[in-house]
Amino acid sequence: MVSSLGNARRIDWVRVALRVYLGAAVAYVLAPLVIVVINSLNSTAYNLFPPPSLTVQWYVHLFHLAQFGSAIRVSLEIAAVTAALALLIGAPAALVLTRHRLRWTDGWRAFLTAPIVIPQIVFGLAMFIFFLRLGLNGTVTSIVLTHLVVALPFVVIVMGAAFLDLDPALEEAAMDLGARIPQVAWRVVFPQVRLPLLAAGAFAFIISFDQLETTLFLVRPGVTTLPVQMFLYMETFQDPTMAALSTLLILAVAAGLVVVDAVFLRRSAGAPGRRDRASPPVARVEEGTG
Amino acid sequence: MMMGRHVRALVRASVAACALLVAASLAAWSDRGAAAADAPVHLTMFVFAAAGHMDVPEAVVRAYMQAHPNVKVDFVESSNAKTFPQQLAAFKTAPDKPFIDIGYYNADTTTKGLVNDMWQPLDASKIPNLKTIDAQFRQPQDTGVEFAYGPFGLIYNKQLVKRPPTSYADMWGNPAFQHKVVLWDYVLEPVMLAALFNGGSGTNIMPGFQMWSQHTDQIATFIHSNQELENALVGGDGTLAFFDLQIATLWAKQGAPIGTAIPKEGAVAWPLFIEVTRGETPAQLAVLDDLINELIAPDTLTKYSAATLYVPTNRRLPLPANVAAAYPPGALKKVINLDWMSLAKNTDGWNQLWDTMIKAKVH
Amino acid sequence: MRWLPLAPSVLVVAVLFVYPLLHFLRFSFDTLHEGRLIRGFSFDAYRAFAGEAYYWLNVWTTLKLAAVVTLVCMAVGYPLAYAIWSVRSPRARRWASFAVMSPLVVSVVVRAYGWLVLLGRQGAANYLLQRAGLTHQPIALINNLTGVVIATVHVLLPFMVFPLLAALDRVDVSLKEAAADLGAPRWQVFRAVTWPLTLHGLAAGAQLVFPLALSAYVTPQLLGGGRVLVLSTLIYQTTINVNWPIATVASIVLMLMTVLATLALLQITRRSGRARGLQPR
Repeated sequence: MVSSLGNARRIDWVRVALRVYLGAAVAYVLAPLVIVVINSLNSTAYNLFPPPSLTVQWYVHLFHLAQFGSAIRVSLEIAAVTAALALLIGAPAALVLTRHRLRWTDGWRAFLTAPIVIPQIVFGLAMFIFFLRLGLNGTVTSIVLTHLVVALPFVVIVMGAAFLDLDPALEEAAMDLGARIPQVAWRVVFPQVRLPLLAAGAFAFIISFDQLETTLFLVRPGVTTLPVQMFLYMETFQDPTMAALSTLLILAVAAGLVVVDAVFLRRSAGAPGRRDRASPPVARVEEGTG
Repeated sequence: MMMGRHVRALVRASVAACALLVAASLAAWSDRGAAAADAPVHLTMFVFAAAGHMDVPEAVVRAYMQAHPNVKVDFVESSNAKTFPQQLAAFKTAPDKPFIDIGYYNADTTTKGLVNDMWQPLDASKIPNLKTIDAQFRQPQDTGVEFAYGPFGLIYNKQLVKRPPTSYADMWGNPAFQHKVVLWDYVLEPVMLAALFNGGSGTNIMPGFQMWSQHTDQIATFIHSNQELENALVGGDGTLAFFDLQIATLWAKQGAPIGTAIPKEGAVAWPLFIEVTRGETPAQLAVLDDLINELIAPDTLTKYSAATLYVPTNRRLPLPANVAAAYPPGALKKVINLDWMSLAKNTDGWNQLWDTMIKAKVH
Repeated sequence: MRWLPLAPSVLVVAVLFVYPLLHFLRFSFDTLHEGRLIRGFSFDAYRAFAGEAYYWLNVWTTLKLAAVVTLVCMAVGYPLAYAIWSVRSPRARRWASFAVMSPLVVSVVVRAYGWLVLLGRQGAANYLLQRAGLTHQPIALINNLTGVVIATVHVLLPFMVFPLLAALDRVDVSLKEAAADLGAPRWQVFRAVTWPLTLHGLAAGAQLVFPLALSAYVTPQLLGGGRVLVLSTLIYQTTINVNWPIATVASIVLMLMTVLATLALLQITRRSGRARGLQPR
C-alpha cells in the first residue's frame, strides 16, 4: 500500500489493480454481447462457434421481415408512455414516503414495490383475464397499464433513494420563506434530482421495452411488441436473424449514448470546481443549479 | 254519439297501426334470414408457429375471404403452449365469446381441451370432406379433425455418432449414449415409449418411469425450445434426442450435422388437429364449416404436406414427391399411436413423477 | 392532505395489481382432476404443496440461488463501482458506467443464449481455461447452478452498481481529505470513512437484486438445463400446463418470500441511513 503522500515515481498498485479489475469486469459484462454480434454474422444457421466465415445474410433477411418495423414502433411508444406515467405517479409517491411520517410507511413502500415479486407469467395471465372482462383485450392501453405496474416499483425505489440523500433543511428553509408545498417540490426538490429522475425514467423505459412473459398474453394481431415478435421468430426458425436484430439494437443504443454524451459534455464544460460525480447511466449535472 | 265516432276512428287507427307493426316485424324477421348470410362474420384463427405450417392454411382462408367479403379472419400465430392457457382462461371467463374460434393444434393441446370440454363437435353433414379422412383418424363425435401427422423419431449428431441409433431403447439402454440424451422437459413421450416396450401400456406408464429412473445417467440435459435443442446437438453437449423429423431435416438442409432415424419399432405419429372452440354463433359455425371443408380438401392437404413434410390422414392421397423422398420406403407403414387422451388425463400426476423419479435424480 | 401524491400510485397498484392477482389466485382453491380444471373451494393444492418434499426443494434452491447471486453481486459490484468512481476522467467514467449498464438494453433471452455459447463445452470460456493450463478437460459451466449464477449475476449487476455509484458519489470528499490530513493511510481512510458511508448503497443494491434474483426465470431455465429447480420455473411450467392450483400456491409462496426479504432489507437500509446522521426515516 502506498500512502496518499507517496512519491510520484512509485507505482500506485491500488490504482493499477483497480484498472485491471475494471477491465476484467467490463469484459465480463460485454462478453455475451460480443458473442451475439459475432453470431449475427455467422455463415451457418446453426450457431456454429467459431463461425467458419462471416456474412451479412441475416441482416438482409431481417429487412425482408415486415413484422419487426411496426413491432419496434409499438414497443417504443408503449415504453415511452409507461416511463412517463411511472415517473409522474411514482416520483411524488417516493417523495411522500421519504418525507412524511406516515403511519406504516414501510408497509406502503412494500406495497408499492410488491409488483417486483410476482412471476411474470402469472401476472401476464392474470392481466389477460382482467382485461378480457373489461373488454380491453388486445389494446395498447392494456399493455401500457400492465407495464406501468411492473415498472413503478423501480421508479419508487430509485427515487426513494435519491430523495433520501437530499438535505431537508433546504425544503424547510423554502417553506419558512413562505413557499407552498407544490412550489417547494417543483423549485427546490426536483431540480436536485434531475439525474436520478432521468435514471429512473431510463430504467422504466428499458423494463417496459423488454417485457416478454407479461405481454405475450396481451398481444393481438396488429398490436404486438418487439420481444414477443422476437420470441415467436425464435420458436419458428432457428437461425441468427434475431442475433442480427439484437446487434442493431445495441448499435442504436450505443449511437444514442454517444449523442447524449456529446450533448451533456458540451453543456457541462467549464463547470465549477466541486468534484464531478460518476454518472450512471447518463450524464453529469452541475451542482446546485436549478 | 260524437264520442262514439271518435272512439271508433281511434280503434280503427290503432288496429291499422298494429297491423302495420306486425307486418313490418314479420318482414324484418324474414329479412334477417337473407341479411344474415351477408352479415359480417369475424373469426380469429390460430396456427402454431412452426416453419411452413401457416402458409397453406392462411392462403386458403384468404382466398375464402376474397370470395366472401363479409367474412373477416384474424390470424394468431403463436405457440400451442402459450395459447392454450389463454384459451382456457377465456373459456372460464367468457364462454360465449371464444378467444380463438378455430385453430391448428398439437395432440397435447387438443386433448387438454377435450378434457376441459372446450371443443365443438362438428356436424359431418355440413363438412363433406370429412368423409375423405381415414376412418381410423376420425374423432369421437367429430370433435375436431385430425388432418395430418408428422413422423417423430430419433435425431442425432452425425459427426459425433458413429453408429446411428436403431431403436427407441437406444435412448435409455445404450451405453454409447450415456450422458448424451437430450430430453424435452416435461415431455413424456420417451417415458411412454419406454413403458410400451417394457410391459406397460398407454394408461400404465410406471414401467417407463422405472426404466428411466434407473438410467438417468443417460440424460445430458433438459431443454425447452427448438433453439436449445439445436444448440445442444450441434455443440455436442448431447448427441441423441426424440424429435420432429421434419424440423431436423430442415436443420440438416441448412448444413447442421444432424441426422434422422426412424427406429425399428416405427415412427411415432405426431397428430395435428383442427379444433373449433365451443360458444360460436350459428353464423360463425356456418362459415367455420365451410372453412374446414376447404382446409381438409384433398388438394389443400397435399399442399400442406409438401410445405411441412407432414403426412395427411387422407391416406388415399399420393404423397408429394418431397415428402416421399424424406422418408425411407416403407418407413411409414408402421406408426406408433400413443394414447394422447391418457396423457392429457394424467399429465399432472405424471409431471410430478417426472420431477421426483427423473429430474430429482439428475444432478 | 400531504399524503395525496401517494394516492395515484397506491390506486394503480391496488386496481391493476392486487385486484387482478387476487382474482387469479382464486384458482388456488380449485382442483385439477384428470387434466380438468374444476372450480371449487378446497385446500388440496395448499396441502399438496406443503406435503411434497420436491416443492420444498424448489423453495430452498430459490433461496440459495438468490442469496448466492446477491452476495456475488455485492462482492463483484462494490470493487467495480469503486473502480469506476476512481477513474479520473469524467468521460471515461461515463463510458465505464455505460458499459456496465449496457446489457440491460439487450433482451435477457438473447443474453442467455450468448452465455450458453460462451460457457458450453466447446465455448470460449473452456477454451481459454484450457489454453491457460488451468484445466485439461472442459468443465461443466452450464446446465448447473454455476452457469445460472454467472448469467444471473451478469443480468443483475447493473442493479447493484447503480446504487453503489450513487452512494459513492454522495461521500463528502472533505471527510476523506480531513482523515488523510490527520495522517490516516489510504486503506484506513477507506475503512473508516468511505466504507461505512457507502454501506447503505450495498443495502439498496441488495434490496433490488435479491427480489429480482428470487423471481429470475429466463436464466435458470436456459442455463440450468432443467437441473436448477427454482420456483419461477415451476410456476411457469404449471401455468402452461394449466395446473393453476399449484401455480398460484407456488406464486403465493414466492411472493411471501420476497416481501419478507424486502422488509428485512429495508430495516437494514434505514439503520444505515441513521448512521449517516440523516433524519431517521
